[in-house]
Amino acid sequence: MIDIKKLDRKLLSVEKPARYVGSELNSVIKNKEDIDIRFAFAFPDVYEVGMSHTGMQIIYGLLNSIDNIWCERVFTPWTDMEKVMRDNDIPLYGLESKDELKEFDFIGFTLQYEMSYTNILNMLNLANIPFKSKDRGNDIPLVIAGGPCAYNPEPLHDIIDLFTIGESEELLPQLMKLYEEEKSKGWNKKSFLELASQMEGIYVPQFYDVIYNDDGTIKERKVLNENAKEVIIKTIIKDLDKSYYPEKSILPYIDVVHDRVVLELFRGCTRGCRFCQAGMVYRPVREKTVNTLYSQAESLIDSTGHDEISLTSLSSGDYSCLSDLAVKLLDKYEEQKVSLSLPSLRLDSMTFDIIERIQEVRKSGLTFAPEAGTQRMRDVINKNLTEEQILGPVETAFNLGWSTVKLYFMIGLPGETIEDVLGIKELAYKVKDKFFQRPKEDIKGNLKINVSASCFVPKPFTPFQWVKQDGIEELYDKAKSLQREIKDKKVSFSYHEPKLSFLESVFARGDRRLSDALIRAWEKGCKFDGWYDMFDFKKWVETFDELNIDPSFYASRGRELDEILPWDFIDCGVTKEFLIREYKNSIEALTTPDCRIVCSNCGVNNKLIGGVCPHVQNN
Amino acid sequence: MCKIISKYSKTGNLKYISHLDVLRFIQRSVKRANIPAKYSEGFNPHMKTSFGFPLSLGNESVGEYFELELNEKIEIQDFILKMNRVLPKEMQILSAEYTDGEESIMARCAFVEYLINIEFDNLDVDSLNDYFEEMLHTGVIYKRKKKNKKNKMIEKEINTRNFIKYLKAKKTSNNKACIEVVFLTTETGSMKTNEFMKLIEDKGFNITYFTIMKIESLDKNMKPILE
Repeated sequence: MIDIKKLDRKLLSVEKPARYVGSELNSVIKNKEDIDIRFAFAFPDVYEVGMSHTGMQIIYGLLNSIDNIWCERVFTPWTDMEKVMRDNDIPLYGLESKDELKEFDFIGFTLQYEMSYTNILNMLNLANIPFKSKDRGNDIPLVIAGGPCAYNPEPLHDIIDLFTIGESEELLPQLMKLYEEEKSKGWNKKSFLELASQMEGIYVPQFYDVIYNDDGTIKERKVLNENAKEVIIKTIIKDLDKSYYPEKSILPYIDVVHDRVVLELFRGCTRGCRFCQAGMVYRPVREKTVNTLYSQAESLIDSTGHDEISLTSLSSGDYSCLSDLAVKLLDKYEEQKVSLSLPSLRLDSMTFDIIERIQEVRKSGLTFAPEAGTQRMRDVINKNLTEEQILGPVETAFNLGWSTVKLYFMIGLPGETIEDVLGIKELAYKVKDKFFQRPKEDIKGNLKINVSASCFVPKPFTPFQWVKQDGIEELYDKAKSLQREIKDKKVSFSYHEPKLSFLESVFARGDRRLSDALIRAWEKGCKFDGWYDMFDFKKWVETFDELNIDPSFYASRGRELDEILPWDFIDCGVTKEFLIREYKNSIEALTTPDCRIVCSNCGVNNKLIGGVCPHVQNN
Repeated sequence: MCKIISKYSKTGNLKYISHLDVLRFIQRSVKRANIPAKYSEGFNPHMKTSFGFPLSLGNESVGEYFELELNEKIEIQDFILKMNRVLPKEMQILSAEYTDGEESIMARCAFVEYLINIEFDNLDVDSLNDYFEEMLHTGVIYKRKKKNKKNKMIEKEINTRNFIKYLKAKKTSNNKACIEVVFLTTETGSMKTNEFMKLIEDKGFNITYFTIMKIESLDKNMKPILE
């Protein structure tokens, strides 16, 4: 255990010491003597962000439901705490036991966002654990990782011992079982990794090598170890109703980003937006039944006392039993002042009776995500949303009394012209007109339209994985011309930092050669890159210069369709043929229907389910 | 009106939880315990609770108070049982009773009693007590910096004599001692434990480690607000 007395008084000098002490309601303390495997679930961002992550609550509950495993949590200490720890030789520790990370069997990082990679390094360093897998011997914890960014694991190939690809609720317990067996036989890291690499959904990067062409593209991938698979197929949970979901969630004492009960309605999405990685890699759609969700809500409210239930998914309005579920929950919880929230709602699919009922308990702002300003652009990205489908619900919302509206857009989309960019302004102004075009006596409240634009980042396993990202200057030009044009007191405009999106794009589609850049950038002091006030682009530019890496090779280069991509060895179920077809459609601005209407043969059903997708069967 | 006043503890790692967070945590606990709490009217209904003076971050306590309004009367023992079942061991309801609630907890609280355990390598407890006598009778004056209403930094002079009712240190072992102190709480403020510890350290007493436990909030007759 770390020196608690040393920590004790120092903690009072840092901001929000509750981030670093654990002891929350529903956190799990176990007797070390009964434990064979100690697992540190590591979230490479601050406590408040990590504690809002449902995946962490699932894995934490799942692993702790196994008697001989103790899963603890660890987050990235904020800079003030990092300084305290370094000045006082306090190593990074698990929040529950206060034991230093080195004493654990596994450190499992979740990869939610490319810009958190330097935090992974910082956490390993604070734990006195070497960065590179090859420098970590048999007596050092295994460093594993999973989550959405693991679909392109290559930039971390030197650092992580083993990746889990896909959904790991079933895979992780199997991996733990294997570890337990191997440990009892006399531990050898390499032989464990060899056995693990035979499992479906496990990727061990050290068993492969990559050879490059003179132009920097990939020539070929070589399998170095006979146990390793040529292609790694993602794992999925076939029946979410039978899959583990925690009955209790840890209740933080301090305010966190999402402070509420989270119900996961379904996984996957049928919409097929071409920019969206989640919409491709989480296929197929698998819904939970109302009964399952209702009883999960009950136990989670009982165990936390939260006053809000969030119904989440990639597109909650598409849940086939949404109104049934919402009405059931509202009926039960209205009296107890528990409210419902529905993030990720496409308002075209929304029945306003539900929104109205929700509003009875508590009123919040409404968010619409048209993503692009013109119909042509929305067709390119396959948003499948007409202007009427945006303005209609907006008008309904105004009539119901809403007066604050957020509009989300992207700039830098493939094939975008200045007309498309300025179309964002046009659309925002049309929304404004909808507010004032109503009879005078209906106009209540103070209209506020918040328009925000993020910069498009092409992601692996999307139809846009081949396209070039706009350059930093181009993105600035587009953002600034919008800023100039939007001159209305009722409409505010903000945009995402293009430099950050550029870097995100580098790592999203990066290859093995970026591992060293991560380490060098960390050495220069890069951490919390996703935080504006911490992000230091100059250090990144220096890093790439020193290592002779051209970042625009990754971000601003269009790929040929036959180029070997760094993530091609992963099979996410959706075929490359489908992605190419969709890419070609995007160039023609041809839309592809929602796959609840027509199957577009993405291939996920053939590989992962055998037969047709569940949502089609139900219909 | 149904109003319960409760005395509760806040110990262990909960000493790092700020007053505002405690407030929210207790409200959630009331919810988990299915207590028929009363809510305010309006768009953002909130539970009707009120609390005593905020405890400084880093201090533990077995003498914290809050009041809760109810929609219907329930047995006090039932309330305590239900609450303690959902509260962590570091925070437990110690006692509770119905109150007419005419005077707020803060108005009723006139004194606060603390036990401060100190550890040291080399410290003369007798001369520490001499210094305490000085604080009590002659008075030690120090400056407190704070922001005024216009957000400007101002300095305020504090005399320990006006804010300490009782103060004594007892040696408990070779390198440990226990300080018992009773501070006055007045409308114009009170002395803070961290200021008190700083005065001791500034005087040259070298303390290696300490813990602070608030024992009780006392009314003007030096009686605990709730037995």
